[in-house]
Amino acid sequence: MAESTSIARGTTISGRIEGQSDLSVEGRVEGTISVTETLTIALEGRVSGDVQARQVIIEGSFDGDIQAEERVVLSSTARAVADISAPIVEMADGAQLRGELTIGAGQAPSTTSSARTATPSRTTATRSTASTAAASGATTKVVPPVDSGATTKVVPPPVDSGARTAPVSGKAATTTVVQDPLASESAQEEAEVTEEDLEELREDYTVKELREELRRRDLMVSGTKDELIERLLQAQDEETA
Amino acid sequence: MTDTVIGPNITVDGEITGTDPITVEGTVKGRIATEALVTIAEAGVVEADVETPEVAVSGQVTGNIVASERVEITTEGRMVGDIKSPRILIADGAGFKGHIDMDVE
Repeated sequence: MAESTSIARGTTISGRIEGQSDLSVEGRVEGTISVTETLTIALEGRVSGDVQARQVIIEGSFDGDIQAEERVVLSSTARAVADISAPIVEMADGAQLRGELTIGAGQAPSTTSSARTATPSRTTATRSTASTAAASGATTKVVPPVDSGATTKVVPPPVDSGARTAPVSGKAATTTVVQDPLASESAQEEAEVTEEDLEELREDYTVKELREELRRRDLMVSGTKDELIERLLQAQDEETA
Repeated sequence: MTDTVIGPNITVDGEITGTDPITVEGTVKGRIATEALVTIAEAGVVEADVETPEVAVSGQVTGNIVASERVEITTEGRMVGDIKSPRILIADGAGFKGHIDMDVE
């Protein structure tokens, strides 16, 4: 007899399915699915609800949220209204999807973490040349959710376009001529710490951890990693304001 | 037609309905209603009410069974609950505690 679980074509399950094996659905499932292996929604299968699995293969129709540890495959016959979050998402020609798609390396297993920290960040490379001076001090700092003045002054790049007045943005610090040399220096340093913090956050936090932080603050947990970081920093900014 | 199989490491909490034969090797809590044979394998655990024409119990059942044709409890089967069915087979060594009603119109 087969080790795996299959829901045949004429069967409907409503409720919760969980376990440590493969699950294949040719029938209907309404509710929550949580398996440690592969969930296959076969051609005639219909699933609505939240899904957590290592791998999800959709050939039939799906409606709900998917969080996959490894990958989500939407084959050419797939019809999905779904928010999908996975390190790898494959979509075949003909697959139909409506919803939010989050493909993030941040959810990859921990074996990749060493490679992640070694990778230089693109944003830092293109930033102003002066930023290396204060970098050494900043990079060693572990960024806690709510910390010193430096962290609270973090302003995500898209938001600082003049709407805010008090915090010093990276751009303003380098272009503005300030009379007091001491003030300008501290402002610059602050701005650089800000940039570094952003990088730190990106490298130190996985998408999952960021989501948890956001969830604790009752914030939206959708979007790319950068968006999550931005949202979190904004929330921290507002908390300390 | 393929059967529905609830594998050894799977727990279903809710309702299973349909027309296919169902084999339970894992755990089902709630309700099972189908138009074909329900088999509860040796490792299977069912804490549910079962409505089906035919049931074969080799695992553990806690709940009531209403079968329009036949219920069989094998040597390995353990059941606590009521059975309502016109034909009931209980093998030597089977465990059963509950009420039996064979008067089905």
